[in-house]
Amino acid sequence: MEGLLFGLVICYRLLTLILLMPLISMTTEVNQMAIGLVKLGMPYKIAYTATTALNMIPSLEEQVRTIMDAQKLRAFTVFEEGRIHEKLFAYPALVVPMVIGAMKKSMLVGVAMDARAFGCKKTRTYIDVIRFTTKDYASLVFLLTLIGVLTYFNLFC
Amino acid sequence: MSKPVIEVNNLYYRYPRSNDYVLKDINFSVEKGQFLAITGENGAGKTTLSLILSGIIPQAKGGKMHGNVIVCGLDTQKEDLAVLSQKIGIVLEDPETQLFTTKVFNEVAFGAENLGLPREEIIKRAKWALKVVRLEGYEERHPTMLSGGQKQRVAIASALTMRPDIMVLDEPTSQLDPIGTIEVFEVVKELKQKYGMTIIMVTHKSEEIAAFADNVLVINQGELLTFGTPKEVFSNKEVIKKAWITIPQVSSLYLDLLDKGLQLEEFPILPEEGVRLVKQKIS
Ligand SMILES: Nc1ncnc2c1ncn2[C@@H]1O[C@H](COP(=O)(O)OP(=O)(O)OP(=O)(O)O)[C@@H](O)[C@H]1O
Ligand SMILES: [Mg+2]
Repeated sequence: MEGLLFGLVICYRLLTLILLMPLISMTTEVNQMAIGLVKLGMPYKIAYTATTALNMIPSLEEQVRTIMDAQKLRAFTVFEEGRIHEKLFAYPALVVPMVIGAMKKSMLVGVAMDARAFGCKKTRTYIDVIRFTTKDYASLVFLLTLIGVLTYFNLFC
Repeated sequence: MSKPVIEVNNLYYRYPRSNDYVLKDINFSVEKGQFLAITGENGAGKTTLSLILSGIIPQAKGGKMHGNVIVCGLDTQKEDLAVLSQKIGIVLEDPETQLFTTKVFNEVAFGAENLGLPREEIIKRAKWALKVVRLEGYEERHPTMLSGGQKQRVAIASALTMRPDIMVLDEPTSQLDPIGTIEVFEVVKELKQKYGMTIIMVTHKSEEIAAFADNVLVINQGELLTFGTPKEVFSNKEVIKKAWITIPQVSSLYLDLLDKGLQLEEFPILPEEGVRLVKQKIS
C-alpha cells in the first residue's frame, strides 16, 4: 500500500512539472529568460540553446496535430475510437516523425544561428536590459516564504 | 572590369557520413554589384553551394571540401565566421526555422548582438535594416505572426544588420504568393541598386531571372552545367532540357512561333522584348 502511494506521489510530481512547463514559456519572455540566466552566470551559448529549445515547444505541438490530421485523412481513427492497447501501439507512429522533425528543425535553427555569428565572440551585447525591480524582490520573498512554510508542514506536521 | 568579390576554384564537397560528392569541380566568379541567379533541379546542390559561399559549410557543418572559395579576399574555410558574416549575409530556404526569437526587433538585432557591438550601434543598425525591408512598425511583433513575405523580409533584415557586401538568398520566394514575391523582389532590387550590394539568388522562377539577373549559373547533379547571361542560358536548348529549366513564357512563345514558321529577329526573354519583336515583324 505504501509503495503504491509513493508511486502515485512521484507521478503527480512529474505531472505537475510537465503541466507547469507551458506556463513558464507563456508568462516569461524567452529572450529575457536567457538574459536572466546569463546574468546569473550561465555561459550564453548554453542559455540560448536551452531557451531556444523551449521556444520550439509550441511548434512541436502543432507538428503533432499535423501528423494526427494526416493520419485521420487516411482513415486512421485509433486515437478517437480505439481501445487503450490500440492507442498505445499507435503512439510510436506519432512520436517517431515528431522526434525526427524536431531534430531536423533544430539543425536548421542551428544553421540560422551560425549564419548570424552566434557563439563567435566570447561576450555578446544584449539590447534588452533586465533589472531586478521591487516586483521581483516581492515575488522572491513571497516564493521563499511559501517554500519555507511548505517545508515546515512537510517536516513537522 | 573590377576584381571579383567571389571566386570559386575547383570546388568539390561531400557531406559528413556520405561518400558521394554533392558538388563536383565548380568554378565561377562574381563581380561586385552583380546579380547572379543559381538554378537547377531539386537536389542539384544549390543550397549546399549557398552555405559554402557563406562559410557555414564546412566550418559549422563539417564534411570534406576541396578547392577554395574566396569571398572579398577571405578564404571561407579559414576565416572566422564572425568576420565572414559581415561580408556575406545569407537568407535560408525555410522562413520558419530561420526566425527563432520572440520579437521582430530582437530577431533583426541578433546577429549584431553576437558581434558584441555597442548597444546603440545595434539599435541604429536594426532600425535601418527594418526600414530597408519596409517593416517599420513591426518591431514588437512575434515573428510567427507575419505573412510569408514579411518573414522573408525579416530574415533579410536580420542579415542586413551585419552590414554585408554580399547577400545570398536561397529560394526566398518559393513558398510565397505573388504579392509576397513582389515585396521580396522590390527589396532585393533596392539592395542592389541603392546599396550596391552583390546578390546571389537561388531561384526557379525564370521570369524573375530574366528581369533581374546579370548572370545565371545552372547546376546539374552537383556539376556546373553552364554559366552565362539569362539570354544565353534560356536560348540553349540542350541546357534547358538537361536541367529541366522552365523558360520564360515569352521565350516559349518564340519557340512556338518558330515551329509555325515565324521567326522573330532575336530570342526574347522579357515581355517588352517580345512585344517589340512581334511589332517589328508585323509592321
Ligand atoms: N546534411 C546532409 N547530409 C548528407 N547529404 C545531404 C545533406 N543535405 C543535403 N544533402 C544531399 O546533397 C545533395 C544536394 O542537396 P541540396 O540541398 O544542396 O540541393 P538543392 O539544389 O538545394 O535542392 P532543392 O531544390 O530541393 O532545395 C542532395 O542529394 C541531398 O540529398
Ligand atoms: Mg535547396
